[in-house]
Amino acid sequence: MAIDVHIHTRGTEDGNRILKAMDEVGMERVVLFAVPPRRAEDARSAKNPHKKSLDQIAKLVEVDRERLIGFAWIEPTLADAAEAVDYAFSEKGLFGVKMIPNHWYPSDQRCLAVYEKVNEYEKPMLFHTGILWGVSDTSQYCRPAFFEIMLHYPKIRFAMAHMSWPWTDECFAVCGKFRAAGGYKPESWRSYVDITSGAPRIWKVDAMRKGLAYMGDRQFVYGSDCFEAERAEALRRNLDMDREILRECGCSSETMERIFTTNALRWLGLA
Amino acid sequence: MPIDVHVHAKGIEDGNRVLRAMDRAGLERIVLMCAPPHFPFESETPATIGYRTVIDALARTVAADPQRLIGFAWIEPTLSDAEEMVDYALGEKELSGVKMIPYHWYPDDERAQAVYRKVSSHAKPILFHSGILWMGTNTSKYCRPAEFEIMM
Repeated sequence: MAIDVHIHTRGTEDGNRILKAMDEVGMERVVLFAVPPRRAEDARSAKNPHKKSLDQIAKLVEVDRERLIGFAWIEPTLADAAEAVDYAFSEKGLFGVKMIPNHWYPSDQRCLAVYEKVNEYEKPMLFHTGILWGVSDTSQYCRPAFFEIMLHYPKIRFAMAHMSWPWTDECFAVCGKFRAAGGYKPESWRSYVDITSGAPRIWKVDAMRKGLAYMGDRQFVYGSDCFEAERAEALRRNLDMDREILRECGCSSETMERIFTTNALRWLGLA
Repeated sequence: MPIDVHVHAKGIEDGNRVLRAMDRAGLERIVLMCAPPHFPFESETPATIGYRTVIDALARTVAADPQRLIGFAWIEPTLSDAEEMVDYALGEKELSGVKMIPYHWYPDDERAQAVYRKVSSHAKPILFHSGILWMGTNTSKYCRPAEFEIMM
């Protein structure tokens, strides 16, 4: 069984179909991201630009809130960002927050208001880190060292997605800094690396070897970056590939269990 | 015999004891960097710190053998007397170089550039922290190597 912490939704999925696909591939739980709230002018002028996407994801996961874990997508440049965190957690029962630094740096003042809110709720966050494909000149905002800002939000367990490729060394070094900040106590180490692909295989094998040697196996979580949660083949593709990569890295079955299941439970606060 | 260019001093070291430790380790010379003037580096460091305190302490330590103990002043460019202290350290106290850590300032910060100009006028070396910075706050972003192209 596995937990996939990185699945995108389009707002059109049916929860039961996702559960069926999960059963086919032996997926225990999935983290489903809300669709990104629009950043266009009409969204900026709207009163609650996050509301529609939060309502959609809450509705999607209600069929089985144990196995379908809904994350709000919060865009800090929209006026209702901090309120949307309240709405997501208090009213809609969502589980965590996903953010992509899209033309804003992670220490942007508008983000800090969001982090403060998430910190109050003690919920997990997942950040896109590394090269950002698809939206203009944005990768510069996504370097892992910028996420040291999370040192100031001690109740948030956060994951850096895509192992920050191509800045994997920087990603692991930042995690090392959080290990030190937590006094080298395993229970206080609150930075995680989401191994969701992005890195081509040759880099991923190399980075996983280094990362496991430097950090051990307790901070890595598996994600697929899947956009088709209702299709078993789509859920299975990266799962098979990453299992093969980790076997190639010499991972024991105990390490595989941690990376594919138990680390995610700890990051989510379920273990 | 090797030379260690990165040794921190707390301001309480005795130069002769440092030299004995170097002999035991087979070190020819070491660069000793003074304690930071602007924050307690370790808990046992006194909280009341100023440039003259840390520079004077290091100058006393290296006086035991200025050939083998090479003193570097820690210059923090956000302090108002940074340039003056470069003159004090490299001129009056005859230290050999400057150490800097980009701590919430970028290496091309105007205040830092004023320090570089001073150091340049003394024709002395600088050692920068670069890479991940293990302090309890968000600091590593200031320490990427490309930022140091300003030294061109």
